[in-house]
Order: sequence, then structure tokens, then C-alpha cells
Amino acid sequence: MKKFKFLVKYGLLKRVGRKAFFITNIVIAILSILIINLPSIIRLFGGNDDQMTDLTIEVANDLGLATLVDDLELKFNEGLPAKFFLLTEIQPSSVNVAAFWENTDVDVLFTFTGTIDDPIITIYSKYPEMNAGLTNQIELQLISYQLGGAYERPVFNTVLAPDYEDPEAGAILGSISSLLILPLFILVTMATQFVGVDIIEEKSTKAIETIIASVPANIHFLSKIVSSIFFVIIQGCLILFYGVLASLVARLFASSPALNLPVGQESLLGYLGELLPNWPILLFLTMLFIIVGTLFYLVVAAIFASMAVTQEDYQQFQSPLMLMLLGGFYIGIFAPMANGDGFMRVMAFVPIFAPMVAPVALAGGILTYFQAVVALVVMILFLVITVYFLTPVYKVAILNYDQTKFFKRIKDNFKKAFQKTKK
Amino acid sequence: MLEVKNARMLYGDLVAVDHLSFTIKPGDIFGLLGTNGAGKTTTFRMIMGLLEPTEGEVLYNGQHVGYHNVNEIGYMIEERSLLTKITVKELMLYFGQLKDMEPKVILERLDYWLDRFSIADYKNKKIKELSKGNQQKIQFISAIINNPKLLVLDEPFSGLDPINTELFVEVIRDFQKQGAMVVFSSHQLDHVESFCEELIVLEKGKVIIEGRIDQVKKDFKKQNIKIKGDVDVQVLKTIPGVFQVVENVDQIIVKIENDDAASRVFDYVKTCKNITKYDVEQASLSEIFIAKVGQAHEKV
Repeated sequence: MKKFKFLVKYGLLKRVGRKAFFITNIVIAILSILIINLPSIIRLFGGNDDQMTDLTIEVANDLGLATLVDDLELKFNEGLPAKFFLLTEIQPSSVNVAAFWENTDVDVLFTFTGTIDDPIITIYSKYPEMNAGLTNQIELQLISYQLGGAYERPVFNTVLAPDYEDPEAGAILGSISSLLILPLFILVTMATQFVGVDIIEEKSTKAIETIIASVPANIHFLSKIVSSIFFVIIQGCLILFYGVLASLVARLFASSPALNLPVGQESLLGYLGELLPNWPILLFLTMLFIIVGTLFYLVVAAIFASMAVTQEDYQQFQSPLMLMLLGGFYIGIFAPMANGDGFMRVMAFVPIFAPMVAPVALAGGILTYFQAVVALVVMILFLVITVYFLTPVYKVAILNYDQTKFFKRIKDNFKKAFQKTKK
Repeated sequence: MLEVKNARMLYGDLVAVDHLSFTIKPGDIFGLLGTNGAGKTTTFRMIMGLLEPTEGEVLYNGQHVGYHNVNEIGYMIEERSLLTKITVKELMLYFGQLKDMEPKVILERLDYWLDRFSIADYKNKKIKELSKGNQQKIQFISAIINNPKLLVLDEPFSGLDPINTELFVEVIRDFQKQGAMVVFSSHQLDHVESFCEELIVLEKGKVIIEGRIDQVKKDFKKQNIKIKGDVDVQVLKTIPGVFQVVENVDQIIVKIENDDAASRVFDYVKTCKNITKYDVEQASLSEIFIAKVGQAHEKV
């Protein structure tokens, strides 16, 4: 145990105690701040070219209240620098919903039926994201009519266009994909590189013979994995810290009078905070997926490194690992864009892709919490089985200097490992 | 005491070591010789517990060699096995702590050994900046930093000049005096001959020579007679039991099969004039090695 602790400490210090680590982290911190504040930065250069200038609303008023449309128009535009909501009254008998959806000149259609004390309002909207604001304003107006009497909450019905697709759902998945997968991919790649290079450095210099003469191969193997996962955790926490730092910078942006940005829209974090109110659970599960997933990739990287003899050799051996990683990366990034919910749900249960796909699927609502936990358990079981079967292979491969062809070497190492185990 | 008992190591169908047995007692220096691929490194790996013998066993003080007693063993492998990107000090701290040593003790001993090997200035230099000879010294220090009771040295003199070789020999002798067991391999048979009491020669995993060096030489009947004087080489060649006559600049070396041939050569030399030298010497270890390994090859 003492040697294991020493090896873990040594491996960790070798990574975090270097000048390269500090330089890399400075770069990551700067990039994080820039990426997370990208919306604000873009606005600095004059974005919002496609911003709406007005919203045309038709009102079919069957309440018998003549001033309703004028009152609503005043209410809606209250406090706005320019008239944004343009309301027009139409006859209830002339309402043609099908024609409204086709008509590009009108954005929203209200129908008021019932009585002033018991109104029923139906909202046909091409911009459903504005419905909440509009219904609040209507309700306030109706309250003012009902003053003196008992207040009756109006009934609101909202109708969406038949071909309506929620742009926020895509935005959520898109944002989550890039925000979760990219750092995860970078972290796992860094960790696997570290563990691989570390092992191959000891092996190619033959120092491994002296090391394995003092420490059991399985302890050496596990110490490499553990020190790398600690590195990932430290690096992950630092990235989170940079995220918080970036968020603080975003607040500074928001409070700047020169920008006049609405709070909550100034950064990707703020945006996601609005879209993902359950982010603490999501973050916790994502961390677990990252840790278990990284452990799996580290185990595979360590095995491939143990089979390689030289640095050049390792480049060839790590190709399958990089393909696995890239597979998960592309599924996580592109499946949400292609609306591949079913595909993502299945891939979230495939252990080699789950670390990248499952957190995105969970955040996007494609996986339930229960399914995510099942996917995590599957991953943990797969990891345990992988460690169980690959540790004997590491013990054989780490002192084997055969330079036969790729598949032959893998086959020979497995054969020797299990021959030895049987003995 | 180190006991290798009937150890056999198979790699698939290949017999790397075939029923090897020997014992090393405290204070012994034991040589393990053989051509390349004879099974020396496999034997060392079995001693170190890096390989488990297919048959037989290796015992160190009555126990199987394992990670519970590895801290008492020093191991130097044939090739350079140093992490080249770190400094001498960092390397020793790394290897020493893997032997459960305290950093303070490691640094104290490192200073002593660097001083003894006259490389104290290299303590904070990266290994890759050192010459091959100095790297060899560092590797040797890494094997002895834990004051081992069993020292396993695979080709310790490889790449060393005669002065540094002598330095290594002195240190090994010091360990011997302290009661350490030393087992080593070398292609430089003169070193084996000069300071090793007992040896085994392996060829394709099999033992072809074993025992104390003086006995091995005695058992090897062939001898060399060195003569200076007016002798007829052609006559010498016709004497029964003489199998080779080598004419050097200042002397003639007559290689003979046995003691009887020595008597016959002596009878002839007595008849010659101006004889200033007549020495009968046992064959050198190198000759025994070449003769025995050659025979083993012929058998194969």
C-alpha cells in the first residue's frame, strides 16, 4: 500500500508539478472565459441583425368590450421605447385559423370568448416562447376590468402551429453537446495520453524492469490509472473553476452600461441555467459518467501502452482507443443535431460511448434519471470486468519486448496472460 | 541463502532454462555465463520473481522471492534501464522509495556513492546528459542504494573502461565482505575468472559447466605449455596429445589434451637448446568456455 501511495503521488506530481501544466491551464482558463462569453463578445461587434422590430397581433373580441384591443395594445407596449406590439381587431366570425398559419403578415391571433367575468382566451402563436409574457399582460388587463367583483382567473388555451418545432430543444442539446462533450473529450484525451506516455517512457527506457522488480505489475498498473484519474478530477475541477470565473466575467459584461444586456442572456452559463433548472443532479451524474468513463479509457490506454515497445509503436497502438473516443464524441455532437433521439438512447447504454453520449442524452431529456443510472451501472460493471480481464494481460505485456505485428502481439499477450493464470 | 531448485522455464515450446539448480551462500560471488540467448536473463528474472518458473522454485532465505523480500535485493539489468528525462537525484529518489527507503537516507547514500564513483557533480544533471559510462555507474548505484543482501547483476561491466571496471569490482568485493550474495553475468571472462569463486555456464538453457572455478579448470584436462627456446614446431605437432601449436612473437604455446602429453612434450623440450621458459598452465576460462560451448553447439 505504501508503494502504491508513493507511485500515485509520484505520478500525480509528475503531471501537475510541471511548467507545462501551468501553461496549459492558463490557456484553458483564457479560452473558457472567451468561449463562455462568446454571445456577449459577438454583441460587442454588433450582432442581433435578425432581431424582430414588431409583432402583429389580431384580436377576435367576443366579450362585448369595445376598448379591449386598445387597452391591450397600451398594456403590451407599456415601458417600451417604441411601439412593438401592433394589435388589430377582427370579427370573431372572420377567424380562419388555417389561413392564419399561412399568413406571414400576422404573428399572433387571440380569440376572446365567454364573458368579462369568465373569459376564455385562445392564443394562436407563431412565437410560443412569447406566450407567457403575453398571457401575463392579458391577465393583468382583465383583473383591472374585474375590480370590485370577485376575481375569476381567465382560461388560456394555447395552440401551436401544426409544423411547429421547438427551437429551444435543439438549442439545449446543441449547447449541452458542445459544453459537455468538448471538455470531456479533451480531458479523456489528455489523461489517456498521459498514462500512455508515462508507461511507454518507463518501458522504452527499460526502467520498467527495475520498477517491476520492486513493485507488483498490478500495483504499477493501478497506480498509473489512479494518478491519472486524480489528475482528471483536479483538471476537471479547475475547468469548473474557470467556468465560474467566466460567469463572473459575464456578470461584469452584463453590468456594463455600455452593453445594456439583459441579465441571464449574457453568457452560455446563464442561458443554460435558465434552460436546465435541474443542473445540480445533472452535473453530479455527468461527473460520475466522466470519472467512470475516463477510468475505462485509462485502463484501455494503459494496456495498449504496455504492449507497445517504443513511442512510435504506441502511436499505432492508441489508434483503436482514439477511434472509440472519436466515435463517442461524434455521436454526442451530431446525434442531437440529426434528431437521433432513439440512436442516442441506445448508444447511452453502450459502455464505450456512454461517457460522452449519456450526459448529453440526460441533459436533453432523451434519458430519464432511472435510465441514466442504469447506463452508469452498466458502465461500472463493464469497467470492473475490463480491469479484471486486462490486469493479467498488463502483467505479461509490460515486460514483453516482442515487436511482432499489432494483432499478433495483442493475441500473444492475451494467450500468455491466460496461460499463466491457468497455471 | 539463494537456492535455485530444478528451475525450468518454458516460453510456449521453447525451453529457455532447463532444470537449473544452484545455491549461493552469503559472501559468495557466483557467475552465470553463456552465449546470447543461453537463458541468463530468464534466470535473473526468475531470481527476481519477475518470472515464475514453469517447474521448480527459487528460494531466498527459505522463502519464495516476492515483493515481501524484494527490498533486500539489488538488481541491475543488462541494458540501460534509466528514466533519461529526470535528474540523477530524482531517479534515485524514485527507485529508492520503491524499495521503501526514506528520502533522507537515499540522499545520504547517493552522496556517498556519487563521491566514490567520482561523479558527485552530476547529482542534478539529467540522465540523458551523462555519458554511457556514467549512466552505467548510475544504474549500478540504483542497484546498490538499498544496501542489498543479494545483488543480481546482469552484465555489470558492459561498456566500462578498465579503470571503472576495477572500481565496480572493488565495490562488489566490499559487498561480498559485508556478507552479501552476488550473482552476475558477464561476457568478459577475465573478470569472472579474477573474482568469482563459482559459476555455471548455460547454453540454450542447459547447464554445460558448473562448479568452483579451480575445479572446473582442473576437470578440464587440456592445458597450455608456454615455451621460449630453440624448439622445432613441426616436431611438437607430431607428439601424441598435442592438438595445436601457436607461434607467438616471443614464445610458442603448445595446447595439449592431458597430463601424459605434458610429460611427452617435456621429454622433447629437454633435448632442445637455449630453453629460457617452460610453463604448464591450466586452460583459461575463456578457452574452457569456447571449447564447451562449441561442443554443445556440435551436439545440437
